[in-house]
Amino acid sequence: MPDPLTSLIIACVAGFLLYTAFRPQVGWFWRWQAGRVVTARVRREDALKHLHHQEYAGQPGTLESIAGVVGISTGEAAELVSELIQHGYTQLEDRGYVLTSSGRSYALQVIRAHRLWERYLADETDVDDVEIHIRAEKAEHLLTPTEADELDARLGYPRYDPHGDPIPTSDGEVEEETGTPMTRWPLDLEGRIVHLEDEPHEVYKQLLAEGLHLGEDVRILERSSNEIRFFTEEREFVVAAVVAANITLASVPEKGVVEGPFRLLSDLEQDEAGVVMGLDDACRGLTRRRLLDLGFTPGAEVVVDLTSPFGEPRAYRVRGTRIALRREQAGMVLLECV
Amino acid sequence: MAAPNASHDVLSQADLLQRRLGADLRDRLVDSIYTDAGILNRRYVTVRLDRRRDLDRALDRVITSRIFGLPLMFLGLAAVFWVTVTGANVPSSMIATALFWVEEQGAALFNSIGIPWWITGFIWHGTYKGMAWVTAVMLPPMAIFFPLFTFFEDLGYLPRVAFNMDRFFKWAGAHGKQALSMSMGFGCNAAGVIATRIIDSPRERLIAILTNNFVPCNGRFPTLIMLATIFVGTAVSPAMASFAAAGTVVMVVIIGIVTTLLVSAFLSRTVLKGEASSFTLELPPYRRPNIGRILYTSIIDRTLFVLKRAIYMAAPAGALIWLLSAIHVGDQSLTVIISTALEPLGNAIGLDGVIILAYIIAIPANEIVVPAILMAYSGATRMVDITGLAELQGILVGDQGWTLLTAVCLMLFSLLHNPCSTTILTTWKETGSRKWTAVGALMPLAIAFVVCFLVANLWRLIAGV
Repeated sequence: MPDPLTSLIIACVAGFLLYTAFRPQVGWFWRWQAGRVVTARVRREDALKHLHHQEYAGQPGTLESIAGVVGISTGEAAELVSELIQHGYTQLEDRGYVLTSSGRSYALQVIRAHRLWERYLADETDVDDVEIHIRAEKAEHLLTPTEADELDARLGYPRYDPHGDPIPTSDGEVEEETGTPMTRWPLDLEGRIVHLEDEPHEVYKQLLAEGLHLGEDVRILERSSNEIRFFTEEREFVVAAVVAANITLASVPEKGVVEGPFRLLSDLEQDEAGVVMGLDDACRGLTRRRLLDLGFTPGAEVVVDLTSPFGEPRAYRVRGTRIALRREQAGMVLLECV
Repeated sequence: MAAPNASHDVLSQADLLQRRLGADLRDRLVDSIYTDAGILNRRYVTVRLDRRRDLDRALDRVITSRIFGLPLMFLGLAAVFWVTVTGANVPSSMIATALFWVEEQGAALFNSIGIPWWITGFIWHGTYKGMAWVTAVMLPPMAIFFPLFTFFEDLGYLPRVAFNMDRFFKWAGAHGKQALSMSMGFGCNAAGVIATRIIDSPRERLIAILTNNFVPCNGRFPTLIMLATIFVGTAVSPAMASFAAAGTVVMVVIIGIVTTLLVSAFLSRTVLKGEASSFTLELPPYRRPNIGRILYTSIIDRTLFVLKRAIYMAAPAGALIWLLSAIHVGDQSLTVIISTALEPLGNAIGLDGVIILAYIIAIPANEIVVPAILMAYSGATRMVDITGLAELQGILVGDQGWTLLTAVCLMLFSLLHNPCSTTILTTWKETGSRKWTAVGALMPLAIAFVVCFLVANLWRLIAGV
C-alpha cells in the first residue's frame, strides 16, 4: 500500500494538470480545439464579411486590412484573396478589393446566419450579451442557408439582431440602417437608442457594462471633443466620445409602447396591490412567454400574497391563481402608478 | 388532390403575413385572448366569497412563515422516513423468508428430478435469488414511501416546499421544484428523474436530472442503515444506539443535499451556463386528498413500475453473481480473481476489491451490493441469507477487518457513486441525449472516487495508519 502522503501529492498534481488542461476557455485542451476550428472556409467567410463591411463604409479592402481582420500574415492574405478571385467572389479595382455580386450575396448569407444566431441566443437562451457575439462568430460558419431559413421562421422573422443591426432576408435584402451616431445627435433632443455596435468588442463590453440597452430614450446634456454627458430615465452617464460613436440614436416615435412613470412588481410591499402596465422590453423569450401565458398582461390586477421564509420568491395573486416569481422576474413586470 | 396544395398555400401565405407583423405579435395575441376571456368572465361568471380560500391563505401564512416554514418541512420529511423504515422491516423479512423458502423448494424439486446442479444453481440460486432479494428489500419501503409522498403531493403541499426552498436552489442556479424531484428520489432515483418533468425551464430541469442521484434511494438506504447501526450504533451506549444510527443516516442525507446544491451550482456556472432558464411556480389551492387516486398512482404508476424495472435488472445481476462464483479458473473462482485485481483500486479509496466488484455487479440494482459483498467474502456459491446484525458484524469487522474508515468511505461511496442502470436508462429517455446521459453516469462516479480517495488518505495521514 502506497503511503497516504505520496498518494495525496500525486493526486494533487494530477488534479492541477487536469485543471490547467480543461479550464474553461483558457485550458490547453480548449485552445488546441479552437486552433483546429479555423479552417479555410472560416477564413474565406471572414474575409468576405470584412469586404462587405468595407463596402458599407465606402472604402475597398486591402491585403493588410484582410490580414488584420482574419488574423493571418499578409502573404497568407494574398493567397486567400487569389482564391476568392478564382471563385469569383471579389475583384481588384484601382483602390483595392471589392465584392462581386456573388461575393456580396455570400457575405450577406454569413451575416444573416450571424445575426439570426444572435437573435436566437438572446431570445431563447440565457447566454450573456458579451458571450452572444463570440458564439455567433462560430455559428455563422456552421449554419447552412436552409437552417438559417428554418431558424428565421422559428423566431418569427425578426428584423433586427439584439443590438439593432438589420438581419438580411433570405433574398439578400438588407434594410437601410437609419439613425445618427450619438456624437452628432443634437443637444437636448430626446433620442432613442436603436443600435449598439458590437465591433470592436472591447467598446461593446463597455457599453453593456454601463447598462445601456436598445429602446432606451436619452437626452444629451453636454458634449466636448472627448466626452459626452447624457441622461436616460434611470440615471446620468458620462462616456468617452469613441464609445459614444458606437451608439446610434433615432427620433422617438410619437406614441411609445410603454409611456410614463411606472413601478416594478418587485417593489410592492406585502399585501399591496397594483395594475400591470406591461412587461419590460429586456424580458424576452421563454420568460416573456411564460409571464404572458400566466396572465401578466396589461390591465391585470396583482396582489402580493405570500413571501417565502427567505424573502424570495414571493407569491402573487393574478387572475385568480397564485404564481410565485423570483425578484428578477417580478422586476420585469411594470405596474401603473396610482 | 387539392388539399395538400391548399394547405401549403395557406401556410406560405401565413408565413408571408407573419413577416409583416411586428415582434410583439405574441404580446398582442395573449393580451386579446385575456381581454376576451375577461369580457366573458364579467358577463357570465359570478364569484361567491369563498371561505375555503381564506382558510388556504391562513394555512399558507403558517406553512411559508419564517419561523415554522422550514422546521415543519423537515419534521414532515423525518416522519416519512421514520414510518418507511420502521414499517418496512417486518414485511421485508416476511417476504424474504417466503421467497427464499420458494427458492429452496424449487432447487430441491430440480435436484429430485435429476436436473444438473449448474442449471439448478443458475436458475434458482442465481437469477431467482437476485429477483427475490430485490423484491424483498425494495417492495415494502416503496409501498409505504410512495403513498405517503403521493399523499403530500395530492394535498398540494409539495409546491409550498419548492416555494420555501427556492432561495437555496436559486443560489445554485437551479429551480425550487428540484426539491420535489429530490424528495421523489428518496423513493427511487429513476422516479425522481421522471419527476423533473414538472420543471419547465430546460436548464434547471437538466440540472435536476443530473444531480438526482445524490439523494440516496430506497435501494441504498438499507446499506446506509446497516453500516450506521453496526459501526456507529455499537460505538455508543445501547440506549442511544438507534438515535446515533438514525442521526448518522440523516447526516449522510444532508451531505447528499449539500452535494446536490454544490454540483448544481458548478453545472449552472460551467457546462450549462447560458441554457435557457426561467422561474415561475404555481401555488394551487389545497385539495382534500383522494385516497383512491393516491393508492392507484403510488402503487401502480410508481411502486410496481419501479419494481418491474428493478427486477428486470436484478435477474441478470443475480445470474452473474452465481456465475462468477461458480466458474473456477485453476483453483480460484472468478470472484476471487477479479476482486484481487481490484484490490489496489479499492484500497486507494478506503474500500477493498470485493466492495468494488460488488458495485460493478450491482450497477443494475443497488440493493444487491450488500448480499454480493457477503457472498464474495464467504466464498459461497450463492448469496447468503444473514439473519442478524451480530452475525454481520462478526463477518465484516471480525473476519474482514473493516474499520470505521471502511464504513465511512462505503457510506460516502454509496451516496455519491454512479446511478443504477435503470436511472441511467431513464436519464437517456428523458434527455434524449447521449452526452447528458454520460455526464449523469460518470460525473457522480468521479466525484465518489475523488471524495473517498481524499477522505481515506487524509484519514490515514492524520490517524497515522
